[in-house]
Parts: sequence; C-alpha cells; structure tokens
Amino acid sequence: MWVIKLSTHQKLFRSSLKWLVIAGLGFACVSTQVSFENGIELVSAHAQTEETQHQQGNNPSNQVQASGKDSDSSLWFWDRYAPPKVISSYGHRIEWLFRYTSWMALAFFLLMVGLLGYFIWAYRERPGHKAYYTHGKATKSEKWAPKVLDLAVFITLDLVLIGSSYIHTKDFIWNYPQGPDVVKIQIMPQQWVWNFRYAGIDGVFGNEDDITTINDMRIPKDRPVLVQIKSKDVIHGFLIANLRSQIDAIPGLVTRFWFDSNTTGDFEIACAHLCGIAHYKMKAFLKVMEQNDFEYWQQEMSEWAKAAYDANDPSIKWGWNWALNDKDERK
Amino acid sequence: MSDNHNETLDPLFANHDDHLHPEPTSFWTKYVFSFDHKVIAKQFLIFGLFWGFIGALMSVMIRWCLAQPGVPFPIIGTFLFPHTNGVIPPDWYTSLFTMHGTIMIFFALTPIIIGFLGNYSIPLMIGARDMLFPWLNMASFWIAVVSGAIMFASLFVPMGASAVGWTSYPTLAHSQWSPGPGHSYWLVSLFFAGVSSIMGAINYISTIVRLRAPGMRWRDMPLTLWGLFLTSILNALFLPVLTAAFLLLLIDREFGTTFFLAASISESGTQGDPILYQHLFWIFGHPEVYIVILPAWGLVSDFLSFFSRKPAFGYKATAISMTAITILSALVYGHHMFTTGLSPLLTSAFTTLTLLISIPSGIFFLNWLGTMWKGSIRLTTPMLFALGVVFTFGLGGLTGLHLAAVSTNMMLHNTYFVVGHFHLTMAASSLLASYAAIYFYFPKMYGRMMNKRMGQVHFWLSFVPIVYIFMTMMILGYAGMHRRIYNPYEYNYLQHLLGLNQYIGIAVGIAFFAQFIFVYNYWVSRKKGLPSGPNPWELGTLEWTIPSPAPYYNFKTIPVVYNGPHEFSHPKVKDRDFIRQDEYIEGVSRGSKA
Repeated sequence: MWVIKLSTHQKLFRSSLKWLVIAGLGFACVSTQVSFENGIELVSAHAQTEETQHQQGNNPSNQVQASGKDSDSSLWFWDRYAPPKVISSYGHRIEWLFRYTSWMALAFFLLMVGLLGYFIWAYRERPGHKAYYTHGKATKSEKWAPKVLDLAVFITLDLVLIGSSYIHTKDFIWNYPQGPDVVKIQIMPQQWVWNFRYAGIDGVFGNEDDITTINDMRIPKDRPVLVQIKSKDVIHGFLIANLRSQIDAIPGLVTRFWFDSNTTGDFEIACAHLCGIAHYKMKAFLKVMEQNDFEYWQQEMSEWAKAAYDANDPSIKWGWNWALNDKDERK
Repeated sequence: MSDNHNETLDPLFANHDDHLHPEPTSFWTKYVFSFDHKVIAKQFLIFGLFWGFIGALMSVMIRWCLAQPGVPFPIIGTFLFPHTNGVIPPDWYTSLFTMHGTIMIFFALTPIIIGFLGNYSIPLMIGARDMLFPWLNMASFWIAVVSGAIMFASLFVPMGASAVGWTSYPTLAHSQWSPGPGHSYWLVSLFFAGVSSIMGAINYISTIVRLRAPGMRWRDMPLTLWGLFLTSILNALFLPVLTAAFLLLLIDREFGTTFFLAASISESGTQGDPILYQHLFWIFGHPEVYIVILPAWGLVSDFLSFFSRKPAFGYKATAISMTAITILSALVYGHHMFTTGLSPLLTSAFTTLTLLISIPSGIFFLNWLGTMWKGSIRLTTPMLFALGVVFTFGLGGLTGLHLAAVSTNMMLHNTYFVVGHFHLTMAASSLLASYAAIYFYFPKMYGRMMNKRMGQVHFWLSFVPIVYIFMTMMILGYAGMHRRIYNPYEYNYLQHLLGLNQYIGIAVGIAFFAQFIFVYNYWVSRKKGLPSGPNPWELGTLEWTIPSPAPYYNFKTIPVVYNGPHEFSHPKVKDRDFIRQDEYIEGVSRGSKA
C-alpha cells in the first residue's frame, strides 16, 4: 500500500473546494430568491426606459433609414439592444422567465469558466509538479462535488423552467379567452401578404358584412383577441415581437392563438417562418385603438363591406367556419 | 506473449487477419479506391475541408448581406451577380443560407468529425488492422462523393439551388412553390449522403463490437470511441427516417403525390399533412445535433485527460451520461415544433424530457473540470481546441435551457437566438473538436508535427470571433431579429441592430481568413514539419505504440490490452508519466500476463 502525500497547496484546495461548492449553491439559492422577488419590478422599470425609444421606432410613417448608428447611444448596452416594448398581458411573464434563465445560466457559466481558468493556471505543467493520480481512489468530496453542482443546476434552472412551462401553459398559452368580450379574427397569410377577416357587426363569419383587410390588423386596447390562423399556401409564422409569443400558420390546419394589448399605437407583424424569396418583406401592421375608435371603425367598415359586396368576386370569399375550429364554442 | 495464447484464450482473435496483405502499389488502388481506413479517413478530411471552405464562403456572403445591405459583394460579386452589379439578390440570399446549413452539416462537419475521425481513430485505437468491412468503408466514401457531386451540380441548375432552408419544410419545398430542379437535386443528394452515413455507421458499430484487441473491455476504450459508437447508433437508427422523409418529399415533387400536401391546396384534393414531415424531420433532426456533437464530447473527454496527464475523472459516469443523452435525444424533438400548436400534454412532456438532458450533460461537464483538477496541464494545440470546445459548449448548452421551456421557446423560436444557440453547441463545438482531432492525429498521419505557434494563432483567431459572433447573434435574437430575412431593416424595430450586424461581419471576416493559417500550416508541415517520432504526445493508447506515419497494416502483431486508456502519472511508474495500454506492469496492470 502506498499513501498519497498531499502538499500544502493541495490540502488548501481540497478544503476550499467544499467551500466553493457550498458558496456556489448558496449564491444560486439567494439569487433565485432575489430574482423571484424583483423580477416583475425589474421588467416594468426596464419597460419605462425603452418607452421613448419605441415611440419613435414604431411609427410606420416615420421611415428611419438604417444608418448604422444606434438609436440612442446614451442608453446602457442592454437597453440599447432591448427587444420592443411588451404590450401583451402575459409578455412580462415570459420576459421574466427569459431574464431569470439568462442570469442563472450566466452565473453557472461564470462559475465554470472561473474554475476552468483557475485550473489551467494553477495546474499548468511545470518542473517539480506532478499530476494527482485519482484512478479509483476518489475521496468523499471528490465524489459529491460534481453531483451537488449538477443538482444545483437542476433545482435552480430545470425545475423552475419545468414549473413555469406548466404554469404558463395553464395560465395563458393554452387558456383561450371566452365570452362576448373576445375579438375574433381569422388570419390567412399567403405569399407574401397577410389577410385578416373580422366577423363584422353580426358577429358571424362567412357572410356579406365580413370585414377583410390586407396587411392591416386593428384591435381594441385591453380586450382579448382570439385568432384562428390557416395558411393559403406555405407555412408562415405570425410573430409580433411586442407580444413575446408567436404561432405558425399551416396550410390545411387551423391553429389558435390569443393575445391582448395594454397600449395603443402601431406595431409591426412579421412573418417568422421562411416562406419564399420575399419572406423578409412579409410585414403587416397592428394598430391598437381605443375601444370607441375600434367600435366606430368596425361599424363603418362592416357597412362598407356590405354595400360593396360582390357575390361573384372569389377573392373575398376565403374563410372558414369559426365554430368548427373552436372547442369552447362547440360545447 | 505466445501465439498459442491468442488462439486459446481469446476467441476475438478469430476476427483479426492472421496474415498481412501486401500494400497496394498502383496509384488507383493506393490513393483513390483504397480499402485502407487511413486513406479513406484522409479522403473524408479533404472532402470535408473542401466543402467547409464553400460553406464558410457562403456564410461570409450571408453576413455581408446583413452588414452591408445593398453594397456589392467584393471581388466575386460581379461574376456571380451580373444583373445586380454584384449586390447579392434575395433569391440568392435564400439559397445561400439553405446551402450553408446543408453543406456545413452533411458535407463538412459529418465527414470530418465522423468520416475522418471515426475512420482514422477507430481501428488504431482498438488495435485492429482495418475496419471490419473495408469494402463498405470505401463504398461509404464514394457514395458521399456522388452525393457531393449532385449537391455541387445543384448550385448551377436553372432557377438556382435549393432555397427552402436546410429543414426543407413542405409545402414551400413542393414544386408549386419551389419550381426548378434545384430542390430535387438537393433531396437526391441528401438521400445518397444518408445512405453513405448509414453504411459508415454500420461499419463503425460492427468494428467496435467485434474488432477490439484482446483484453480491451468496453471500459478500456478511449472515450472518443464511446462518442463515435453512440453517434453511429443514432445515425443507424434515425438517418433512415430522414432519407424516407426525403424520398416521400421527392415523390411529392416529381410525381404529384400528396404525402405532405393539405387537401385544400393539392390538385387532386387528397389529404396529406405538412406537419407529418416536421415530425419525421425532427425525429432525425434533434438526434443529428448529438450525432455531430457526441464524437466531440468523447474527444474532449479524452484530450482533457491526455493533456492534464491524469486519468479521466469519472470515466464510467461520463460513458453512462453520454449513453443516457443518446437515449434522451430521441425523445425530445418536439421542442422544435412548439409553435405549430402542439397540445399541452405534448409540450409539457417535451419540455420536461428536454430539460432532463441537462442532468447527464452537467455530469460529464463537471467530470471534464474534475479531470483538469490537480492535473499537470500541457497547453498543446489539440488541448487548446479541446478547451475551446468546453467553453463554447458550456455557453451553448446553457442557452439551450431557454429553448426547452415552452413559453420562452415561443418567444425565441425562429429568431437569431436559436441561430446563436445551435451554432455554439453543434457547429462551433464540433468545428473546434474537428480541428483538435486534425492537430492531434497529424503526426500519426504524416510523421511530422504541425507548427505550434501557427496553431495557437489559428486557435485564438478562430475561437474569439466564433464566441463573439454567436453571442452577439443571441443578443440580436432577444432584440427580436428573426431568422432567414434578407433585409432585417425592413422592420422599424430592427433598424437599430445594423451596428451589431456590422460587428458580426467583421468578426466573420477575421474567422474566415484565419482558416487559411491552418491550411498553410497543414500544407507546409506535411513535408517540412518537425519529425514527430511514434509518440509525440506521450500517450498510452494503442495508436501511439506503432510508428508514425502509421504503417499500412497498423499493427504487426495484434496488441493485448492490460491497462485503461488514461493511465497517467501512476505513482508506481517512475521513469515516465504514462502507461501504454498494451504493456504489462506487475502490480499496476489488471489481470496477469500469459
């Protein structure tokens, strides 16, 4: 039998490893707590700083030429390159989860890189230094250190993400709004245009007072909007960066999606899914209006549609039976 | 050890050739249609580097578009795009990113990290004279060449090369929306690429199972072989699914069937399903990520041990983790399809399964750190690249968490965040691992060392821009920039991102030109590098027990394995810090010498 003689340096490190792991775990737990408490607050504070920036940015008539200059160089880096302002009622919850995951991942990454850098420096090859032969002779701390760290990642990141996914699905992703307050819109994208269809005054799809618009989506503020999307040709993606969510438009399959907006203004709708050469130009506008303005617009458009209805024009006859694709309504 | 021992003690000897074939002498049999795994490995390497150059040039053009919209591409632009005075037009841009993805995955990374590394290392590391099926091995390479030739031809067909994204989603991939032969060529080419990879996979699996040198247990294999073995299993299981899907799509395009067309848009009115294709594609597509990265993980696990002069920390745990990931990788593909309106049951299941992968990944990641801990680290060029993999994979792996959870996935799906994430995990990591493998095996291939200083410059000029490029892409993605758009500045909310895109462009330029340092180093060192001797890295695995360059039949006598692959710094061996796998040392080696 032979015994490994530990140098002072090795002893020091062996004892410090335990503390390093404990410190890492402690840091993880504390930061979890802090971010849970401050998450919402941080996001709302952040939204305020961007507000000025996007009031200019989101006005479609104000076509700013891409000049290579940042919109406001006085802002801090992360604010300068922050995503557009959240307008949906669930957007900040997704935003919070993103930030939480990012900060935690960054913390673990820095811990890892710190260890990596330290090991490269401290255990570099040099005269009089020999590697420690570990084969089959791992001590207790060597055995549990990786497991504890792995568990820390699992608890602070994976479990939070699994839990949030479940809660988010239950709370908003798959929790479609019902009732008379809901604005219903059918969307049919095609290469490279967005078609929107509103039920009109009578609230029934597929008759002559249906409002159809192209690249122009209007919704009232603070009311849930339920959309059914089906593509006419290839797969498109309905993406509004301000919502922090999106849904695919698939030919032959109606997908459902809902959102709302707590802010009036003009926002951009992008096609998220490659749909051909002009994919990058497939842009529509979302106009969020005050409740009264929207009612007025809907009334007027519906009357015009009825007056201009041409039974022989096939181009406006797209659309589908809303209730067939709505589980809640079929009940 | 007597011959008697071979015949009586180990039935595995039955699979080894007991006599040496003479080396082929003619040019064709020696360099072109060679059965020799070492020649085939070099052929795969040249094939991969050639396509890697084309793919990289395409990425430079893509980034040029995003950084300098409307500015002619320098030098080759006027030849390629005469109608637009050298400005890359949108249809070309669409083709460019499609072909960049396809080429890099199927024609650059796969041939290098699986074709080259697998062919070169498997027989040498297990102590065999060649692969189990040398003819199949040769066929695998030449089918890959056929596939590459079709892909190359597709760049010049009328109406342009395939322009539907490397995922080739119907219905955009159908002939109604992608007319012209480009995409059909693409499908045929990848069908052949699939066949080639399946052949290779079958060969690797059988070779590792049957041809290990006597005495080499599974846990005596270097971890590189574990990576390659698991990769081959994934290839053999899931590439058939992909090739089948491509075949169906090809029939849809050419003969008007409607496997992936909805009734409302098919001429015959028969009902197919575009989503079916997505399922088929991602059943393969997610394991593909692991197909490319598993050899890299194995390689890094080995290199960290080799150059820290220390046994691999938690060898068994690393091997088990890699196996667990291989199994899990088949069960998580749904997170690519969250936005298609998957039911909540499926999204929850796929989220949970995806996040479970972080447990085994965490374990072997920490084992890597454990291997370096208290080592005696030599920063050789392969080690630098291996450490680069640890860094980029750490970064890429942790940002994968965002994409596993359903709500953040729906926020980030189809944005540059995804692009940055998968480039860091599978592209950058396996690229750096490929370079590590080339620098590592160069002495065994040519008997000479590559220049170390040039290797270091190559590493830093590749590594720093790579990390910068893909980190910045993740910031772009979070800022809302979506993928595959020719001109993001069409959108008002993306206009302020031009600056970041320009910085990425500069970094891409640096990384692109840095690769020529490697090419020069490789070319010159072949003939003029310092002579390496048989064991320049001072390792104990079997390939370093034979002369360099490796002789035609590798091992004159088949070695018998007594030790593990990572026996470094053993306290009982005083004169050197490594133990060869095939040497018997009383009281150190396992078993007893016959």
